[in-house]
Amino acid sequence: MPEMTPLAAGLAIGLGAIGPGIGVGLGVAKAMEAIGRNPEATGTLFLPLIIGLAFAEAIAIYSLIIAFLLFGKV
Amino acid sequence: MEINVDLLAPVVFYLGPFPVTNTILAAWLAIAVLIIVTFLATRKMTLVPGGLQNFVEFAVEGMLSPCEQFAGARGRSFLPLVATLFFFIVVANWMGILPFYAEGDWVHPVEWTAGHGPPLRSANSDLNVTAAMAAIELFWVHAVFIRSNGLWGWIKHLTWGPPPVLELISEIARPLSLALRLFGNILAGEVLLLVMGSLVPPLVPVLFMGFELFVGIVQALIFAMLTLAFLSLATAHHGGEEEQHGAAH
Repeated sequence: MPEMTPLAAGLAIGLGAIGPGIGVGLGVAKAMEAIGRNPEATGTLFLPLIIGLAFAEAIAIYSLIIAFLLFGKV
Repeated sequence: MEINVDLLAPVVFYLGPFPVTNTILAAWLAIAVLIIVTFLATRKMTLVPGGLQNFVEFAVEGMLSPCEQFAGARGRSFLPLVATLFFFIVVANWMGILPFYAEGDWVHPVEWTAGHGPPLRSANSDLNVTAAMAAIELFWVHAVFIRSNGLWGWIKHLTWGPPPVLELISEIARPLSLALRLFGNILAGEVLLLVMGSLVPPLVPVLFMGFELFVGIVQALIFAMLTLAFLSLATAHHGGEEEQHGAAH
C-alpha cells in the first residue's frame, strides 16, 4: 500500500516524539528545581543537563530519520 | 513546493576510482579552515598571547578543563582526540549554515538533479562523515581499554558480565548512537531551515539559523564529551588507581 507511506512517516515521528518529550520534560523540570533551590549550581548543572537532554533527544532524532527515509519513498 | 529528501550525498567529481561527494568537499574545507587558523595563530607565538593566538589558546584550554575534570590526571592524554572532534564538528556545522552551502540537495530540485548536485553541503548531514568519526572513537576507546586493562581484561569485559555479551552490545550501540545523533540533528536542522525558508521567507529563518548555531556547538560538545566519558570509562575499570589520581587532583 504505497499510498499509506506518508501516514507511516507522520506516525513514525509523531509516536517517536512522545517518549523523548516526556524525558526532556522530566530532565528540565528537575534541573529547574535544582537551580531554584541552589542558584549557584547553574554552571555545574549546565553541561550534564545538555548531555542528558541529548540522550533523550537522540531517540526522537532516530524516528525523524525513519520518517525522512519513508518520506523519501513517496 | 516539492521536497525530495535524499539521504545520499551526490557525487561532485571522481578522484580516480573514488567518488568525491559534496559533503566530503565541505569536510575538506572545514579541515582547511582549521589548519589555516592554527597555522596563523602559531606562526609568531609570544609568551603573552594576543589576538588570534589568545583565541586559540582560550579554545584549547576550554576543552582541556573538562578533560582534566572528568578523567583526572589522564585527561591531558585524551585532549588530542576529544578537542579535534569538537573543533572539526563545530567548524563543519557552522560552515554548513553559510549561504553558499546547500540546505540539503532538495532545495533546488529543478536545477540540481541526477548527479549534478550542489558543490557543497554541511559535512555532518552525511552519515558517512559522522560514522567515520564514530569509528575512530570506537577504535581509540578500545585501544585505550586494552592498554590499561590488558588484552585478557578486554576480552573478559566484552564477554563476561552478569548477563554475558550485554557489554558487547552496548559497546556496539555507543558509536552507532553517536553517529546517528549528530547526523540526524544536522540533517533535521537543514530540513528545518528549508521548511522555514519556504513558509516565511525573509526574517524568520534568520532566527532559526541562530538556533542552528546553538545546535551546532551543542552537538559538537556532546560528541566530544561522550567520547571523553567513554575514554575515562575505558581507563577507570578494575582497580583503584584512578581514584588515587582523582584524590590527588
